[in-house]
Amino acid sequence: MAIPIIVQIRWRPNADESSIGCSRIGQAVAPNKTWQSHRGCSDDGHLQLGATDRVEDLPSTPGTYRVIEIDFSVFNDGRGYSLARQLRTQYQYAGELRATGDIRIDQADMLARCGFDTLELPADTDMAQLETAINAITVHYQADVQLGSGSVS
Amino acid sequence: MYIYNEPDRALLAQRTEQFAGQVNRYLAGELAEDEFQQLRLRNGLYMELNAPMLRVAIPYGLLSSGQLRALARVARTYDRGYGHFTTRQNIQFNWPKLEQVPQLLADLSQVEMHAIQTSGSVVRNITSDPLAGVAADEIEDPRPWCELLRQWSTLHPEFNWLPRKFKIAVTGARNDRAAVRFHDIGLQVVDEAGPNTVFRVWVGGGLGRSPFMGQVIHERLPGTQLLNYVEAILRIYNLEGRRDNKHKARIKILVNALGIDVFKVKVDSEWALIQKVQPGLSGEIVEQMRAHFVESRYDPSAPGKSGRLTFDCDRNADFARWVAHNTTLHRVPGYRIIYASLKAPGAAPGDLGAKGMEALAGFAERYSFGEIRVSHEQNLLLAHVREADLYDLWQGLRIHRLATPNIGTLTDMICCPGADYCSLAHASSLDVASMINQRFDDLDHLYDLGDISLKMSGCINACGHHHLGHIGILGVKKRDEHWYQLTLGGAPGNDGAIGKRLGPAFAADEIVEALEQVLRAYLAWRRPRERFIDTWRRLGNTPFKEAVYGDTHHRTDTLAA
Ligand code: SF4
Repeated sequence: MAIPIIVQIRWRPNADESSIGCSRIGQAVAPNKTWQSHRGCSDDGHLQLGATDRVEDLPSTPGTYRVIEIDFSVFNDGRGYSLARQLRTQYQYAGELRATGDIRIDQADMLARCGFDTLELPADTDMAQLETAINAITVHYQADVQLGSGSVS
Repeated sequence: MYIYNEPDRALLAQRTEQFAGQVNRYLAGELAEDEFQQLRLRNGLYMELNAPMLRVAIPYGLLSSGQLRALARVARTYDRGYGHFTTRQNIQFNWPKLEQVPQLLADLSQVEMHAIQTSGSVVRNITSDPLAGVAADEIEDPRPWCELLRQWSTLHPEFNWLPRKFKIAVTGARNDRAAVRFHDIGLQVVDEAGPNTVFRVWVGGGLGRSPFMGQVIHERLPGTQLLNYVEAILRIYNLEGRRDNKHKARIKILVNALGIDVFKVKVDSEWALIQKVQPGLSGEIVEQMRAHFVESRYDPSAPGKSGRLTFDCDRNADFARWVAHNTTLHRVPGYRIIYASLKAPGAAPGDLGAKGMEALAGFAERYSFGEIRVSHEQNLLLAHVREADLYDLWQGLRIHRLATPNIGTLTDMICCPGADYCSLAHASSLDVASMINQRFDDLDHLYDLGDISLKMSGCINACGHHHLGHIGILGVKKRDEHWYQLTLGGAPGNDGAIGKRLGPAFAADEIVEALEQVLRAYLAWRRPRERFIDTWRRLGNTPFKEAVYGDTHHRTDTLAA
């Protein structure tokens, strides 16, 4: 199976307020991994969480991890969105937050708005379609989790 | 009425285009079936027995005449000339073609309408009291809060993939006409003198396979914390609600599994964390929203002209009967709230043709500030009619068969589309509705039976809210045949209760007879002026059981579901 790509989402604060860009920044380390057991932390500061993990149970404060990966075992399981928002807003986690597993391009926008800044997507992802999908809706009723600032604007 | 501003319009235009893109990608084979299913459901599009079914949102049941005219155009252009108003104050079209849905939605977006979140595991249309803003027993108009909730829940990035659908109802009146006890979240403005709105919050109510009455999770929630608190509930539900079994995925199951106390502790601690980063709604935002719903066009000379109503009633008994049954008092003297009955004999309850929609839009413009409301009971209301205009309006409504004087009676029944349209149905509900209409076609008999709510669902999903009917009829399937179960004693309001099953189910050719037996027993047992529900509360199921099953009990028992 082809190795997934990593796509970075960039907010464009100087353009239209909520327009976001995305670009491929690399490849995942292994083909389509989906973790059954979570909470593994590798030496390079990657923490892996699954839908059943809870932020308040983390072994150390979120800020100590360089990257937190949240895995979606199926695309219609929305728990990861809440985990992301808790990490960004309540724990002020400012490191990289990556969505992995079964995620679809039509979800990229809402993932980003909940605080994910990188997505692990299938190798054959059409980047032009992704760019369209992620910018389909730029007007929002809710405050977004702004990357880096860790607070709700 | 809430009028869209520039961002509202921009958002809707973008969403309409986004969905069109998704349909086109699906038709081009670029979107997998499972994914498109989830995406289309989030925009109200079902694949039903005959064709796609599109459910269009009517936020808290409020429509402008322009919007109703647009719905009529949609019915004509994309459907077979009619629509079906639902118990959740929405409208459904049963015959659109998938390829045409994007254009249909583009048309509707011109009048600020859409199908956003009318299905799927998301926060659904916010429902409310159809008498909001005009009821005499109102503490506060709930609609500004409904609109705040609508905006907040629209395309909320965190809550687009909940375990299951999520329904919120709001009432601002002393008498609950929004069934807040039977929603995932129910909100009721608490009566108090101060200037600040305070809500009682109910959680975990719902019908379906395992019906529950909601429980109070907060007795006095400040209105300014409404969105934060709802967010806390939704986050706990999103994280903890069951996802392994669709029948156990509603919040009612979670609340009852944890117990309300444990659930409340979780919500409260999440709420405390949320408040640290989001202080809550400002009084200014609430005030701005309220301004949208202030009605100031009332004619101060209306009461002086009301004498005509008495005169008209005296000279025309049919009119007087309609006034007695299909109108109710307005907060403002000289005005009435009128019900256009969508329950004419022979009509499918809740259905209305394009012509009727246009006529009603015209009446609304002439008599009721161009505003129409959809009730949970699947009727349409004109909420601000001068008493002096009632006779003219009645004559107009009669031409369009919208003046059947049966509001609140047995034939004003709630009925889901059932097996004729719905792929989940176990039995037909429309056939039974029409048999009931034929059997109970005598108005005097109906009036003698008095206030009765009959509610019918074609399957255990309970879209027809059969559990909440004084009399409920539930369609079940046995050996591939349509059978029907009776429940008695349900009620949606302040006296909310879930109906009790009477006994074994009836075949399609027995159910109307069984209903008649129930009603005969009521007539036999009732005390003077006692309503059906009160007789039932006094006596319980027993006398009704005896009347219905008698000594044939053993026969049907063997067929018990
Ligand atoms: S109650 Fe059942 S049959 Fe009726 S509309 Fe709902 S799902 Fe369909």
